[in-house]
Amino acid sequence: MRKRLPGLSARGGLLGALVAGALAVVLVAVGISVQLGPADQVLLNGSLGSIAFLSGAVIGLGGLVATLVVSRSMSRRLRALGRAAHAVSAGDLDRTVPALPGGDEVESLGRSFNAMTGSLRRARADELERSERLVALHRASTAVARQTVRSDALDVILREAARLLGAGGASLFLWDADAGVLRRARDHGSRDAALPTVVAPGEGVAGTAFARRAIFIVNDYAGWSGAAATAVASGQRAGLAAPLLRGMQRVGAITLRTYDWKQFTEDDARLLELFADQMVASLAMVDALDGQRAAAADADARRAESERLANEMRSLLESTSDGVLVVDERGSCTFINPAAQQMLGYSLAELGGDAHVLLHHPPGASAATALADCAFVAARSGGRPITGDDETLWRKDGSAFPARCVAAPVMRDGRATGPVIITFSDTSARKAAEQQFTASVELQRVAHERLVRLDKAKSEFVSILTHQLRTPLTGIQGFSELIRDEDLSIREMKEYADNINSEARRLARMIKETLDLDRMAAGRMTLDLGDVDLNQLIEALAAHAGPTMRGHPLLLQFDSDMPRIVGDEALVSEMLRNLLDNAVKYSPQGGDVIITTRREGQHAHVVVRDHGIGIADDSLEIVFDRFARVESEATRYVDGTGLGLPIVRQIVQLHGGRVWAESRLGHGSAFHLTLPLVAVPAIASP
Amino acid sequence: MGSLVFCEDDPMIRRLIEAALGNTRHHIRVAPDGKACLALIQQERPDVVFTDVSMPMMDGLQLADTIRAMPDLADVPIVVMTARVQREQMDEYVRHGASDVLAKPFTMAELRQRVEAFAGGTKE
Repeated sequence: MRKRLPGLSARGGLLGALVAGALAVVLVAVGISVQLGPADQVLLNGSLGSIAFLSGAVIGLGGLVATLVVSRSMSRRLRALGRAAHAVSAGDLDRTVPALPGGDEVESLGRSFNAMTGSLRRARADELERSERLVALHRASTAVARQTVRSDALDVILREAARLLGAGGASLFLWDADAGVLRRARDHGSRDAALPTVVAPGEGVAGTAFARRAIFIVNDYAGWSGAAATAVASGQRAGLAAPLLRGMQRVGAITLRTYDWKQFTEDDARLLELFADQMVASLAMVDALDGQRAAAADADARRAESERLANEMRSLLESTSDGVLVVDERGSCTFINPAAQQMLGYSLAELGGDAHVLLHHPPGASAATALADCAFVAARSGGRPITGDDETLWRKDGSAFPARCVAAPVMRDGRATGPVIITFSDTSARKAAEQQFTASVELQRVAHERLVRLDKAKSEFVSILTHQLRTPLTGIQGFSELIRDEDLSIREMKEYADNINSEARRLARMIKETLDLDRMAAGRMTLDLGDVDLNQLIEALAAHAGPTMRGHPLLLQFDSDMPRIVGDEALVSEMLRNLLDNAVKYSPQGGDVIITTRREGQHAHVVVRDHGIGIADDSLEIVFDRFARVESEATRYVDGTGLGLPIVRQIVQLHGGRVWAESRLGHGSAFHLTLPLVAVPAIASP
Repeated sequence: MGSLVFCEDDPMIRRLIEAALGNTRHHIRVAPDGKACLALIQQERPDVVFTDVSMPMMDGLQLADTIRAMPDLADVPIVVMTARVQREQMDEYVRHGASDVLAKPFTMAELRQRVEAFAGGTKE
């Protein structure tokens, strides 16, 4: 009894242990199935937990088997079962027990054992696949998180999805809302030679998933009504597509293709949805990044542009020679460029308060009046630029300068905003130049008129001179012709020769006078100065003048106390002879010619008076002008070079004296001249 | 035989004219200025008057105007003797009624040609 009892008890204990072990295996299986719940709840920790659970179950089984092995009454079959259990506990899930025929519990235990290890193997394979999927998703997430450019993450997601789901090819289509089509954006490994780039909603696997907003599986692609011939030709066997949904919005579709035995399952579909979510997240991030990048680039470009503009503006304001000011509505300066500072002598700080009054109004003007009157301020209210060609601006040192100013209001949307930009240039140089120009034009005009007058006078002079030269030439030519052609007596011949001789001398004198006057006028005449006794000189002249004075009695009225004068005797004599000739010439009716001398202070005063035709008042000055004779009707008939009186004036001036004429038309003329006396010590009057 | 009046203020030219024409059959009278000349003309109507332009008292052009204004003498030919023979001056002489111009200095042939033209041959 005792022998049986341990055997029985051992058998009973072993049976209990096996039942417990089987129970444990079932529990493990249930745990695994629980862990395989909704795919989106799968976490790595969950996976680790289930592995620990599995391990615990195996260890429990190992303990049970060990109990069986230790039992002294265990049969050979049980020992085999024990060895297998030991191997399983060591991790060898491929181990099975051979058939244990006997029709008893051991045989059923063997079958159960083998079923258990099979379940364990499947569970482990599932677990491995699941972890692999998790790793792939993790990899895709990481790619999304790290992505910097669109292609990176999208390509990673597409590749991982294809690899993990056993697909031979994968494509990403994005929705083009404008065109109303899906455009292929990415592809991975598709074999179709004519892979579509554009797909309409509802067309093909991807288009169908997109149109339905749902996962779409085709496991018999060749038999599917929507199959594309080229895709069938390329060997496509199955297709799986998921729409890309961002909230309610469809942004595209992701589609997978197989070219082998692989069929897509609902699990695959759920997994693809996960990848689709990653894809949407990635696209959103790409959009955000693109937007951010574009905004940053835009901001950079705008900053660079505004910097460039600011630089240009600064260079412009600093390089211009015009003054530039910005004056606000209260007349305060808020900006001044270097040229304006230089022209005005003010710095910006000094113009802070009432710049407008300082610059645009004379010192002491009241601010209120000035502002009210100011055209520059009016430019703001008028809303358009005002130009002042003749403004006056005041410098810091109190001086002013003429300026051309343009006041332009700062406008925004057609309205003046308040400040006025004033540009100005100093026009004093221009004004001075203008005045100078005007003056020089006037000078030139005067000079030109004088030249024209001179030119006319000169040609008149030439005309007169040649005329006057022709008169003696007429005599010379005529008398010499008579001598040549006529039968003349000696007496006649001598007379004619004498005439020729006298006319030749007359000609010579005219030429000399002309040249003398020219030399005197040009300042080339030098005086042979000496002490001259004027009375004595005039007496000698009168003695020689006799023959030419016919009909003109010459009366001399001398100041007997006349001192000597300083002069060139030959020139003084010529001058007096000219006056005497004139007196005779202009007294065709005869009449006395009176020469008077008188001492007046430090001068000798000589008057030559005739009773001739006289000179008109307006010609009293002109008669002394060279070339002037023809310009006067009164003297137009007078023969001679017309140079007599101009010569007189030149000689008197050379001696430091004066000459002038007095006359009554029809009653005669008086020519006055003064000549300086030799300096004598003053003698006290008695 | 013609009657000629010469009006010339230059004594040398007066002498020349007298010397050149003195032995012709013409009746030559000479005056030193316009007024004297006018007196001679009024005394006896000449066939032609030769006159200088620039003269005292009454110049040659005034003389010509006066002659042209005298009913009895208005048709007497007047020959102007002058060195001023530019176009404007010639025009002026014509305006004042000059019949011809004898440019100074003139040759004796020129003088005689004018005399013959207005008073017939100079020789007997």
